[in-house]
Amino acid sequence: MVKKNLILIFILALLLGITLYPLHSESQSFSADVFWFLRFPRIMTACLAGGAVALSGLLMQSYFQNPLAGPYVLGIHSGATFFVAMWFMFFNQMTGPMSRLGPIGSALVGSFLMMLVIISISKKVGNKILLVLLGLFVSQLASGLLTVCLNFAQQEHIKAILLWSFGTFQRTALNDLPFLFLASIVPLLLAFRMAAHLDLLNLGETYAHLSGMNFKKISFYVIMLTGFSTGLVVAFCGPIAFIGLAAIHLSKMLFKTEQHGVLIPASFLIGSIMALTVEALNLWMAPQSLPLNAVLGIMGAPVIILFIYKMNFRQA
Amino acid sequence: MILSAKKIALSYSPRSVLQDISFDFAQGNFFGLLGKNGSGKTTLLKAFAGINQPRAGEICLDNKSLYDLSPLLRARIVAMVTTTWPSNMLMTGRDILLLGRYPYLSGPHYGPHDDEIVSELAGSLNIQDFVEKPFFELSDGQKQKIMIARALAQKTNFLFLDEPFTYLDIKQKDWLFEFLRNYAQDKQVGILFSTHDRFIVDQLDHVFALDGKGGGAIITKEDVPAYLASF
Repeated sequence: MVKKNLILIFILALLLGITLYPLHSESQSFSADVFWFLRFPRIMTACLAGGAVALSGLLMQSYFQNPLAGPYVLGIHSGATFFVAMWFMFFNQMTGPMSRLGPIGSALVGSFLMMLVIISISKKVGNKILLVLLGLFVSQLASGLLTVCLNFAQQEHIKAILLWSFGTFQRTALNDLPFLFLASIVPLLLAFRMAAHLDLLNLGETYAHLSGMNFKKISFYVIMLTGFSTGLVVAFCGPIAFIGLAAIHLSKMLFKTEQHGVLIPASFLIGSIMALTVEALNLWMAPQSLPLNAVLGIMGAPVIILFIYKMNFRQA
Repeated sequence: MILSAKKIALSYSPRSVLQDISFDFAQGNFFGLLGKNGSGKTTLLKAFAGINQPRAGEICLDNKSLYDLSPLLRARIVAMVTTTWPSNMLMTGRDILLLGRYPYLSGPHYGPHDDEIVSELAGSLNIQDFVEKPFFELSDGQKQKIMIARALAQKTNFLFLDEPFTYLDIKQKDWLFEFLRNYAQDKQVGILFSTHDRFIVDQLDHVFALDGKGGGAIITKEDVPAYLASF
């Protein structure tokens, strides 16, 4: 298994290099300042946020034992988005450290709140499709409220909020990166330590109890990690679609395993690569910039369609 | 070790299914569990396996309550095979067997000793040919043997099986029955399994018979025909 891990990391690092290469070769014509203050934060943001979203997706899929679960599908992202938008609308006069920490705090409140709502719903409904449907409705509720509130917002806020809610890696500065580092690398390391416990969840809740798993502790960790990571990512990048779903299925298809020791690094790196690909596309197209979620949708939807097609095929 | 139910009442939410059941179950015992559909067989097995706490009464393990033990310690003493299967697509049989070692997990990974136990069990249960394959590709009978092997990997003193013979062909059924009977004897493991199979019932010396009205008792071979007639 260690060998499999190493090969995997090698392949994915290679892919990462290939995606990054054009950015580097082009940077000769730029001054060092442009690279460090404009490109580097964007590249790092894409790497870290993409990985973090994929990791949250993996944790949620394993926890709910639901191949369609994820921070975007179940409305964690729209919850966080709603709270951040509220902050911008009502506290936009704030200056000093609060103007930076406020949105982060609101996003965290939103994502933890949604995570708790979804987990308590999941305790009541055993049906996997029903959970996704309810998640969809909760998410619709949050985005509906957001749209209504936007109607009463000032012009300049509307544009800022809308652009941000399309998802972006371009609003982060160098001094934001430590937050994204916290949002991705810390959950990654903690998730690694949970790998064997997450594996057991693959047998379903009954067998997890029969095997003596401390279910409350695992639930606590999953809520903390996904809530924390999702909140921070949304605060900086807005809601990010598809990566949280597609990266996990891609890594399962590529590595043909359910072992979290492999899936955790694989999903994280594939999430990074997906995010970087979009960001590379944007750098090529500069000064034009494509909305992140639209591109991810175009890239990610075929993966999901293929997956569902394959699932049906197997059941038939 | 003796596992004893003391006047337990069990419910399968929200319905109350069993009342006032008392039953001593020792290591090395090999009992069948009989009862009509809906008479509470699965409910009783789950209670003994530590995942369905009695509404009243107590299940004791040498005079200590089974439900006072820590979940991990309990999983080293009692194990169960349910009638449901994991729906995950890519897990192999070996992955599943290894999960039987969860109660002994120390640190983030399973060790070489766990691999040894898994390989040894794969050998003694004759599942080497398909243990490396993805679980969902296996036949129902093969799946059943994998799940039984997983429970055995827990190395418990007691084992509870919910209809273990359902999906097996006649030859496999014979083989597994003999295997479990010998296993109970040799390793001094108490095994209780529910079944609807007349052929299996005829080979048992003791049966725990549920009367379908909330009660139940151990009966011997001679009383089985009369019990079945009352069904």
